[in-house]
Parts: sequence; structure tokens; C-alpha cells
Amino acid sequence: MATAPRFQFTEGTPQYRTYKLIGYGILLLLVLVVAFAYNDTGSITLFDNDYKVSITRVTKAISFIIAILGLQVVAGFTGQLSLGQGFFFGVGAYLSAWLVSDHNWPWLLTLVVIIPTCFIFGMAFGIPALRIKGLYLALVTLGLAAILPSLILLDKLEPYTAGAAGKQTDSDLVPPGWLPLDGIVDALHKLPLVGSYFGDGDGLSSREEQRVWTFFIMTIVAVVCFKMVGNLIKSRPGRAIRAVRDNETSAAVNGIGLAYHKTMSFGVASALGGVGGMVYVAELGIASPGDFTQLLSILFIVGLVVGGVGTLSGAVIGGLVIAFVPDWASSTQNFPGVPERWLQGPTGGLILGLMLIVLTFVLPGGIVAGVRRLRARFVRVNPARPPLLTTGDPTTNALADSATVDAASVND
Amino acid sequence: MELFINRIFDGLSNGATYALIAMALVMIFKATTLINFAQGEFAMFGGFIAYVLATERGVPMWGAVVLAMVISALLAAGIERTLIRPFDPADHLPLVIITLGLFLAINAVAGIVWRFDPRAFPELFPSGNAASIGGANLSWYTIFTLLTVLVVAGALTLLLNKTKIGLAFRAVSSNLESSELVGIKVGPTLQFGWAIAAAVGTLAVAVFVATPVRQIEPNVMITGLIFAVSAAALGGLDSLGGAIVGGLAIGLVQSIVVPYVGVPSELSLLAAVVVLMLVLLFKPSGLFGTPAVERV
Amino acid sequence: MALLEVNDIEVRFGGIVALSGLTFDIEEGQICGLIGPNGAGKTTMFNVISRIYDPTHGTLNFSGRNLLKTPPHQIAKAGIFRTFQNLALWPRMSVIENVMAGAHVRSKENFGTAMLNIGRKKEEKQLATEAFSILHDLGLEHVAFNQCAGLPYGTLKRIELARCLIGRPKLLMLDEPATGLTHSEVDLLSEVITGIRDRYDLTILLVEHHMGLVMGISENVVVLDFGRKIAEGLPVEVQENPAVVEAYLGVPAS
Repeated sequence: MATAPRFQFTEGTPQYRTYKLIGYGILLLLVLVVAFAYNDTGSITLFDNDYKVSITRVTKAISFIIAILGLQVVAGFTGQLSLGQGFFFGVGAYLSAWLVSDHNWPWLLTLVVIIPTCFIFGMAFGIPALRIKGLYLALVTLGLAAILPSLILLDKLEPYTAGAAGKQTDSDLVPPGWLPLDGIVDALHKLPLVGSYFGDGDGLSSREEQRVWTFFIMTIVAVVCFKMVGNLIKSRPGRAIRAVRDNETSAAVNGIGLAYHKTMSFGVASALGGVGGMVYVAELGIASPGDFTQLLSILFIVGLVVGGVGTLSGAVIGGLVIAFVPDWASSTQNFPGVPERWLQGPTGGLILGLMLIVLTFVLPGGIVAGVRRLRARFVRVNPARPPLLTTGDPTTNALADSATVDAASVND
Repeated sequence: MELFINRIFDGLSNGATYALIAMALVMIFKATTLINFAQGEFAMFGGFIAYVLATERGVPMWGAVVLAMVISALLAAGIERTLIRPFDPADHLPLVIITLGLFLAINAVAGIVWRFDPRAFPELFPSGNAASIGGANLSWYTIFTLLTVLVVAGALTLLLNKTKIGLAFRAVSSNLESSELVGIKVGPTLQFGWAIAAAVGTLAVAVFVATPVRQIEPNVMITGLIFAVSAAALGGLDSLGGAIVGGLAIGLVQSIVVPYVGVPSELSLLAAVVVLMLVLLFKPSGLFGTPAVERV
Repeated sequence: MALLEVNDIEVRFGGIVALSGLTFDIEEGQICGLIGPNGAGKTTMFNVISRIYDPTHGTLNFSGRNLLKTPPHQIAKAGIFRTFQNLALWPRMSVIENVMAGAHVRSKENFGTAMLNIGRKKEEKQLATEAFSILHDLGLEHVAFNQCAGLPYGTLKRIELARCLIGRPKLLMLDEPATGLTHSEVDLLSEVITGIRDRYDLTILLVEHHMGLVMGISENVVVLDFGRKIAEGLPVEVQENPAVVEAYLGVPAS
């Protein structure tokens, strides 16, 4: 690198902590803005097109983000190409819809059922993965994802799934009485300059309140998921699954059980898929079989690749992309130079397909890779060095000499 | 009994389509060990080209199909040259992503251009029944679809065994590095494989929808691809003959086994996936494929 | 009792006899060199010990216990670690993560405790410290946080060594460690190997073609030819053994 980055931080120092705090602060601000601004009324207008930026759409994006996070675990970090994440998303969606509407369970409680169920199913999915690798695993998992709609439409299951009509849930997440959402919106509305973005000054309707509350709860669910996966990656099992990804044979020789780690990884990924499904149905209010075809699994892969395989922030970007691109693409009725006829139809699918192709050439690491490269020009974080056990000399002095030779070439 | 025989005929005629798409998959697999996830969409797109040529341009039906086969072959060759060749054939991951991207993009383009309402495809074969066997009607359609499979298989075999480019193709399938070393141009040879595969796929879709009970629409091959993949795996991913056997077998499983086992027809796809999984788990080289030998 | 007792080992691949009647011992703390012309069966023997191959005949005892009962993914737990000729690091992890993963069998954190962040912080910190120390020992602490991909070949070899060392092996098997190294690098390697044997209390089995290295550091040399042992002993004895000379150089034309 020609010039050193402007900001350098070392882990563990106060300056680093401040840097992190500012980062989290900005994220928190973003969450608040999304929650209260443009509450279902907002849209951006470009070229005579109305692009909706509503909180419901963001909550839907969160469901996708969680599903893609699961894919990151199994495909990004363990190297198992699963095209079946949509299956677990659908299972989670239907399970929670059934528990909530037929048995009056609170939404979050359904996770107690969804997580173990999807985990165990996922581990079962992982068993073929022990013998079937790469491309063929992708095929088999795609096949499994494709059959979910037919399973849902089975006559035998109709009492639970409501068949082709879709399973409706009337239960919404109702914010607690003590939370002054109304008051917050009013206060924000009074802010100079930006106030007009925060509602119309007449408070929130109960439906709007529910939406905001759902958004907050689901954001927290997502944050918890991210924290857990982040913990996983930095730990012993996290290193183990990445070793399986990078070189199975040497992983086995170093005592890393391939079967165990692959199946566990599938389990975790599928559980996250199920959680995503719950979020989806909680927001949408209905689970229909047509939403959970193998196309959804392919869409998740698009999100995975576009965001950046093997990264956590890639899941966020990927989820946002696959939630908004098709939506905004179909909202695009006018675009300069393009005849209107070509803008109707699944332009979103076309854009996503083209994104996959272009990114593979230009930015195989996904958008995150590009962002990181940019950021590396301005900020570098140096890892904290663990203490040395002994201050004694290295094994041989000769080694220390050769080390300096290597150091010169490595730090270029 | 008559129902049973009817079911056999149905199974064979569906199986013929699966066999044709499976042959297309095998062509690409033989050369590159890659499964083209977009094969079904290539085929569907080619089918639509035939449709447009026949209904909007007034080209006689079979002429339209042949022309569509040529056009789709050229398009596939272009795609191979620009999107596939830049990548190392041994590294599957970017290629899988690209074929998935093509899957989405081509399906979307078909949806944009032709919308999603199903359209009746002109018939390619004489309608009506040729014979009555055991009380069941054997339609000309069934006979001719099977004949098409045989003709295509024959043509491909001739192509691979009696032409120079066929020889090059077989060499590249057998050993890529050695082929390069003896001066075979690997790129154009693979391109040829992609082109042939696309042409065969186009024919498959055309034959599939050229009957009053089916129509052509952009999603026609979405589940069909999975049946074809199962068929190809069952027969052996590098065996053309195996693709035929596999295709017919999957077609028969779908029409006979599924109803008799009492499984609802929606789950015939499940049956195909189960077959695929069992094959990959226990006999990855399928019935007629060459087993991969691994050196420790 | 020797640390590793190889007794009458035979390995067949179909009709080909790769090893036959092979018997030798490796004493604890020893550096043992396994040499022989190409195709003599050295790698086969290596793979038998790392349990990738099963012998058709014979016994293999490690610390007095039957090693043939141990499956390949458990040899690490038994205390046997090996390097690979073509390097088998995990390129997308950092150097220190590669080394820490080498301690997989010694640590306890599992999926649950990891995700919920329960009580394993101490173990993790300890592992990191240990890994860093080993890297320091091998002169690698300046690349500890770099990704493995892109580092020079000699560095990668030492990283693989570090990964073995953190496992606290009883037996360390080195598969042609001198391959691809320059003359001066091989000298350094000799010092490294004897150094770590002393410092980490190891027994080392070395398969190698570089005669200078093997003869220089081995305390016992076993020579194979066509799957059979043709000589064993101190380096100087083996070097003068006529059978060994013949195996490598042939017999003078008469």
C-alpha cells in the first residue's frame, strides 16, 4: 500500500473503543430513523417512479438478512453449498403461523419450537452432505427446496397449512403501554429541518405503532443472531468449520471431526433460516406456499454472493438487496430511454441475475469486499498482541535473523 | 389395466422430454464436469424462439424449431465464450454462481418479453392415436417423442464418433490437459458442447409443449430441470445412453410408481429428488457412467 | 518400550506389495529418519501411521497401545501430528488462527458455549497466548495476524510446524520438510527441528530425500527399498552399508 491509512487503531485501546462506539451509535441512529421516519407513508420519487421505503419492507428485509446469515454459516464459513435455505425459511414461517393463529402462542415463543425443529431437520440435511460434495450437494439441496410447496399443499396437512390459500395470522405484536411511541414521534416531528420526515404530527395509529414495535423486536432478534454467529466464528468451533472449508483432509488429521462439524453447521444454518421465516410471517401476516419455492433459495444465494460470502455484514447487504431490488424494480415504470413495455415483468429477477454475473467477474468477494477495500484506505485496525509466555530468546537466533528477512518482504 | 397402460404411455412421453434435457446436461457435464443450472431456461428460451418464429413470422413449424435450435446454439456459444471461458474449469464455485445468475436472468427476460400467460404451441406431430393396445390409446405424440429421443441420440453418437470435432470433444472430456498438449483448442470445443446442449434442450421443450394438454410459458422448465437432473444422475452423468434410460425411468416413476404407492402427484418431484439423492449417495456414477477413480 | 513399535507391517494395494515385513522402533525423544529411493514405501508407511491406510498384516503400537484401532481423525488426540508435503494450511484464516486450530483436540469449547459466550474466554485467551508464543519461537510473530494466503513458502512451512507444536504432540511426523527450500534454508531447518525437539520434548519421524538434512540430525535411520527395510542404524553406519549404496546408486558395471 502506498500510503498508510489515516486512522489506525489497535484493539483494546480507548481510541479503538471510541471508534467502535461511534460506529454503533451511527447504526442506532439509523435504526431510529428507519423506525420513525416515513412510517409507511414515505417514498422516494425518481424519474416519476415511486420507490417505497416503508418500515414493513425493512422488517421483511430483516427476515431475509437472518436467513442469509444462516447461509453464511453453512456456505460461507463451512464451505457447504446449500441451495436449500428457503426450505427452512418456509418451515419456520408455517410453524410459527400455525402456532400463533391456531394455538395463540406469542410470536417470540414460537422460536422455542422453531429453533430445535429446524436445527434437527438441518442436521438431517447435513447427512447427505457428508458423502455428496460441492455441485452435487447444491443440486440435492435445490431439489429439497423445490418440494416444500408440494409438501405444504398436501391434503393431509391442509388443516394445519390452510393449503393454497395461505395461512393467515391475525395476531400482531402489540407494543407495551408504557412505551411512549407516540411521544417519540411527536418529539421527532418538532425537530428543525428534518422534522417533516417524521410523520404528520398527529401521532401514530395503532397499526403504525404495531409496525414500529415489530420492527424493533425483529431488529433485536437479528442483533442477537448476529452476536451469536459472531461469537461462533471467533471460537474453537468457528475455526474448526473454517478449517473444514479450507482443507478437509488436514482438518481431519488435526482432530477436527468432519461429520460432526458439517452436520452442526447445517443445523445452525437451518435454525437461523427458520427464525427468518418467523420474522417474515410476523410481518407479512400470511404464509403462502408460493412464497417458498426453490426460487427463494436461489434468491438467498444471490444475497449471499452479492453481500459477500463468508462475511457477517454481507448478510445485511445481501438481505437488503434481495428485499428491495425486486420491489423497486417493479415500481420502476418509467426510466429515461427505456420503453415502458420493457419495464413491466420481472425486471427484479433480471437485475439480480445480472448482478450475480457481473459481481463474479468484477467483485467476487461481494459488495463487502469492495467496501472493505475502500475503508482500508482510511482506517486500519491492528489486532491486540497476546503477551509472550517467556521473554526468552526464540528457539534459535538464526531463526530471528531469517525472520527479519521475511518481515521485510511481507510488509510490502 | 387400461389405466396402467395409459400411465406407461404417459410416463414414456414425459420421460422422453426428461431424457432430452438430460442429454443436454450430459453433454456439458462430459466436457466440463459442470451441471448447467440454467439448462432448463436455455431450453425454454429456445422453445419461445420457435414459438415466435412459427406464430408471428409464419415460418413452417418444423422449420421454426430447427431455426430456433440454431439460434439458441449460437446464443449459448456466445454465453460460453463471454461468461464461462474466463474461469478455471476446475473451480466450480464461480461457474455455479454464473449459471444461477443466468437462470434468473434468462427466466426474467422471457417473462418480460413474453409475459407469463401460457400459450398454445403448435403441434409438431400428427394428432390422434396410432393404435389401441390393451384398451389404452397410444398416441402418435408418444410414438414421435420417443422417436425424437432416438434420432437425437443417434445424431449425437454420430457427431461424437464420426466427426473431427466430436473426436476433439471426447478427448477434452477424457483428459483436458492432454488434449491441450496435443493442440486441441479446448475453448472452442467446449463452446461446441454448450451449443449442442442448447440446441437439444430447445428441441426438448418444443416437443414437450407441442401437445394440446400443455402450453409454453416462462416457468415451464423450473421443475422440469430437477427431473432432468435426476434422470441424468440416475443414468450416469457422463453417459448419453444413460440419460435416455434415466429419463424414461424417471418418467415412468412419476406416472406409475407415484400413483400406485399412494403418494399424491405433487410429490412426484419429491420422488425424483429422492432418486437423485440415493444415486449420489450410493452410486454416484449412476447406472452407466464411468466411476471416478480417486488417488490418495 | 519404544514410543512407536512397528512390527512386521505389510501393505498391499491389489496385487502390489507396498510394504512387507517392515519392523523398526522409534524411541522416545529420538529423531528418526525414514529414507529410501522413490517408490520405496516411505509415504505408505507414513500414511499407515497417520491411519490413512490399513496394513494387511502386522502390528503398530504407540505408547504401548494398538494404534491400528485408532481412526484417522483421532490420531491427533492420541498425540500424533504430521505435516504435509504440499502444505495443508487453511488459507483463508489468519496465521494465528491456523495455529490455534491445531489445538482443537486439547480445547473444549463447543457450538453451544461458543455462541452463547459461556465461560470459555479464559481458554481462548490461553490458546491465543500459547499460539503467539510458539509463533515467536519460530520467528513468526510478525505475521501472526496476516492471512496465510500469499506468505512466502518457507514461512508457510514453519506455520504448519507451529500448528503441530501447539497440539503438544508426542510424535511429530514431518513429510519431506526440506522440499522446495534453498541450501541455507535447509541448514536453518536442521536447527529448527533439533531445537523444537529439545524445547518441546518431542519424538520426531522424518521422511526426507535431502541426505544432508537426514544424516545430519537423525539419531536412527531406517532405509527402505521396494517396501522392505534394508538397513537401520546410526547415520554413519547406514551411509557405509553396501546394500544402501546399491539401492541408491546401483552396482558398478563389471
